[in-house]
Amino acid sequence: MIKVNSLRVDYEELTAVRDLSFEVKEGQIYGLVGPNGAGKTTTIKALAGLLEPTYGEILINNIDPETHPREAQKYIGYMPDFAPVYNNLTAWEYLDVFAAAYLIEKKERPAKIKYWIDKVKLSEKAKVYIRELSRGMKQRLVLAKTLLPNPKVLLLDEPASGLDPIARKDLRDILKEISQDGKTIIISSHILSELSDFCNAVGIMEKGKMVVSGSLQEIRSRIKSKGLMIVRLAEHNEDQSLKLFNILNNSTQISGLQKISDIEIRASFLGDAKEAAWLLAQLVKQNILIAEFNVKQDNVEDIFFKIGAHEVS
Amino acid sequence: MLNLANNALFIRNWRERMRFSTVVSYLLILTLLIVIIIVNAQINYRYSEGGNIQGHSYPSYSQETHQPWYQKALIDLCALQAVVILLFGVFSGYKMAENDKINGTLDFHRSSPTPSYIQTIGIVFGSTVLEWVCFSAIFLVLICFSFIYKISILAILQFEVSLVFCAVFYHIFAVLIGITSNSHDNRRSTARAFILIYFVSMLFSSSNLSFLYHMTWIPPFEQLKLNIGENIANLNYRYGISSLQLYELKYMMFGFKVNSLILQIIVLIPMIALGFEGINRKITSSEHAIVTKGQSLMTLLFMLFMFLGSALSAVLLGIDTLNSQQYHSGFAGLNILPILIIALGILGSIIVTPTKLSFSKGLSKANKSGVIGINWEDEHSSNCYWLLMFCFISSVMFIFYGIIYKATLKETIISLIISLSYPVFFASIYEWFRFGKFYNKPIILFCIIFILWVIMPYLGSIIAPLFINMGYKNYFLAFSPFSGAVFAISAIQDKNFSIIETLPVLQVVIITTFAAWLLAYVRRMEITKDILGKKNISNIK
Repeated sequence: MIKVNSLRVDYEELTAVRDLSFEVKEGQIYGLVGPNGAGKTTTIKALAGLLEPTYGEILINNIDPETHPREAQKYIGYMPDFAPVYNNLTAWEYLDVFAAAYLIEKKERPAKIKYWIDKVKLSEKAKVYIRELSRGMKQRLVLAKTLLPNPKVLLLDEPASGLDPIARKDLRDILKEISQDGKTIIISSHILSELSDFCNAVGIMEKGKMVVSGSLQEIRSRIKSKGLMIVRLAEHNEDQSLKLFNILNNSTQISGLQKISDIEIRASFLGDAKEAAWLLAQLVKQNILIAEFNVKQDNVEDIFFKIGAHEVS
Repeated sequence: MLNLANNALFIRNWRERMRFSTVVSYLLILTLLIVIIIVNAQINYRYSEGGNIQGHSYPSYSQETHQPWYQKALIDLCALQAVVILLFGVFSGYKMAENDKINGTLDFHRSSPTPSYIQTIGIVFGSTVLEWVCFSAIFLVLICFSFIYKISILAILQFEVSLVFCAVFYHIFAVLIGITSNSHDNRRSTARAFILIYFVSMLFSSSNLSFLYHMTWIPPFEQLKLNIGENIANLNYRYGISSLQLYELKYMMFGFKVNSLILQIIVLIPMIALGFEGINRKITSSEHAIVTKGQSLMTLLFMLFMFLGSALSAVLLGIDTLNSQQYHSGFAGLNILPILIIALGILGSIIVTPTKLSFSKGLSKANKSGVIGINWEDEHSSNCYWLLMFCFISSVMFIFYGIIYKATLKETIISLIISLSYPVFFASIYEWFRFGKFYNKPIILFCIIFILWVIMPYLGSIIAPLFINMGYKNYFLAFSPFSGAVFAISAIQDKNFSIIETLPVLQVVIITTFAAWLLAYVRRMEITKDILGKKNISNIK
C-alpha cells in the first residue's frame, strides 16, 4: 500500500530524512519509532504530500503524491502531532467543514459526522465551541476529522502527545477498533508503550535514517531477539519437574534454562508462537500438570532499546 | 465552481463570521453610520442655503451651494461602502488567511481532495463575507436613494462594479500576504501587510498614468462625482499642465479615451488573475514560489505594455516630450521607464531566484527523469535564463520608447545598458549568495548591497570636490541603481549630457555586472557538478 524508496527531505538548514526506504503492506499497522528529531514528522508530512521530497519516490496505492496529489489524497487521512482547529466553530461545524473539504455529499454528512463524533465520545460536546474543549478532546476531534472520509491510509503523527492517561487509553481503543477495519496505518510515536499493543510492523528511525523496518516477527528474528518463557507446574512433583526440565532442555529453541523454584522454570525462547504451542502440546502429552505457560516476546520498546544509539538527526 | 455552499473554506469563514449576534451588531453600527451621514448631509445643505440655524451664524460653504444634500449623502455613503469593503475587507482577508496558515488548518485543506482553485475561491470570498454583506446593505440604501431622488442608477452601478473589481483585487493580495505569512507575531505582521498594501496603493493613486492610477480606488469616485454632475475642475494643478489634460491622461490608453470601468477591468483582471494564481500555487504547496518564471515575465510584459500605452497617451497629448521645458513634467515614460525596469528586475529576481536547496531539488528531479538540466521555466531553475528573457522584453519595450520619444539609437542603447545592468547585477549577486553557504545570513548580502549602493556613491560625493574631472565621481556613483537611474534618464533625454559623463558609468556597470554573473555561474557549476556527480543522490552529504 505504501512504498518509500530512497527518500531524502532537506530543510534549508538540515537534512531531516536521508536515504529512507520502507514498505507498508495493506492492513498493516506500522509504528514509526525514533527519538525526537529522528525525522518521523518529516516522513509523515512527505507521505501526506505536504512536503516536497528533495529526492526519492513515494507511492501510496501506486500513486505518487508529488505528481498526482489530488489522486493520492483520496486515500490519505493525516493527523499532525498538534490539533489544528478552528476555535470559533463548534465541534459539529468543524467536522462539517472538513466533510465538505473531503467532498462528502451534503445529505450524507450529518450521519457520518454523528457516527464519528459518537465514536470519539464527543457527542455531548457537539454543539460546544472548540475553544472550550480540553486538549484531549481537541485531539479526538481531529481524529474524527481524519477518519471522516474513511481513508484507506491513516498517517498519525504522535496522536497521543500531550494526552492524559485516560485520554491516551481511549485513543488507543479507538485506533485498535479502526485497525480491525483493514486500514493501513502509519503511526509515529516516541512513547513506545503506546505502539506495543497494536503495531504489527515497525520502523525504527535515527538521524533521519531507517535503522530497521519490517514486521515485528521479522525484526525479532533479524536481531535474534529472545522471548522469555515461564513455565509453572500446578504442584511440586519431582518426577514432573524432571520431565519438564528434560523436554525444555532438548528443545533447540530454548537456551539458558533457570530453575527459579521447585515449580517454576524460566528460559530464553527463540521460536515463534507456533513452536511455543507445539512445545506446550508435548508437555501436556507427557501428563505434566501445567499451571502457567507464558512466552513473553520482545515488544516495540524492547526492540528499540536493543537497536542503535538513539541519536537525532 | 462557485458552489459556495459546498466550499469548505467558505463554509468555515461563513460560520465564524456570520454568527447572528455579529451580523446584527455590524448592521446596527452600519445603520447608525448611515443615519449620521444622511443627517450630516442635510445639516450641511441647510447651512449652505440658509446660513443660519437655531439662531447661530455659520459661514456658507460655497462649493456645496450647488449640490443638493442627497448628492452629498450619496457620495458619503459610497465612501462608507468603500471603507467597509476595502479597508475592513483587506483586514479580514489577511487575518483569516493568516489564521488558517499559522494554525495549521490550511494543511488539512491542502491534504484534502478539494481542487486548490476551489479552496482559493473559498478563502478569498469567505474571509471577507461579512464585509460583502455590509457592502450589499449599503448598496440597497444607494438604490433606494437613486429611486427617491432620481439619481442616475447607471452612475451608481458603474461605481459599484468598479468598486467590486477593486475590492477583489485588494482582497486577493491581502489573502496572498496572509497565507505566505510565517510570523507568529500577528500584530506586527498585520501592520506590515497594511503598510505594504496602502503604501503601494497611495503611491499609485498619485500617478497620472492610467495604468497605475486604475489600480487604485480613486477612479470609481471620480467617475461617480462626474456622473452625478459634480464639478471636477478643481483637480490638482501642477507642472504647468492644465487639469483637464491631467484628467484626460488618466483615462487614456495608447492615445484613445477609454471608459473608466473598461480601463479598470483591463488593468485589474490580469492582476487579479495573477494574485489568484499566486494563492492557488501557495495552497498547492507552501514551498512553491508565488509565480512561475513564465508568469513573472508575462506580468512584466503586461506592465511594460500598459505603461507604453499610458506614456504614449502623454506624448500624444503633448505633455511628455524631450522638450527641455517639459522635462520635469513627471509623466514621461522616459523618466519612469529606467526606474521601472530597474525596480521590476530587482523585484522579479528576488521572486524567481531559487535557494540552493530548491536548485538542488530541481537538478535531482531532472536527473531522475533522465534530463541533464532543469527546464528554464521550472521554479527550481537558475535565474540565468529568466534574466535573458527579462533583458529581451525590456530591450524591445525600451526601443519602442526610444522611437516614440525620437531618441537616437546611441542614446537609447547607452540608457538601456545602464538600466539593465542593475537588475542583472543584483540577480547574479543574489543567486551567488543564495547558492552559497551563508544563504541563511541575509545580513551579509545586505552589507554588500549597502556598501555598493550607499557607501560607494557617498564616497563619490565626498571626493568630488577633489577632482576637477567629474568623471571620477561618476565611477563611484555608478555602483548605485539610484544614481544609475539618473544617468540612464539623462543619457536618453538630456541633449547636453556628454559621453564623458556616461563612460565611467558604463565601464563600472559592465565590469561589475560581468563579475557578478561570473560569480553566480561558478557557484552554479559547483552545485551542478556536486549533485550530478553523485551516484546515490539521496545520500549526498
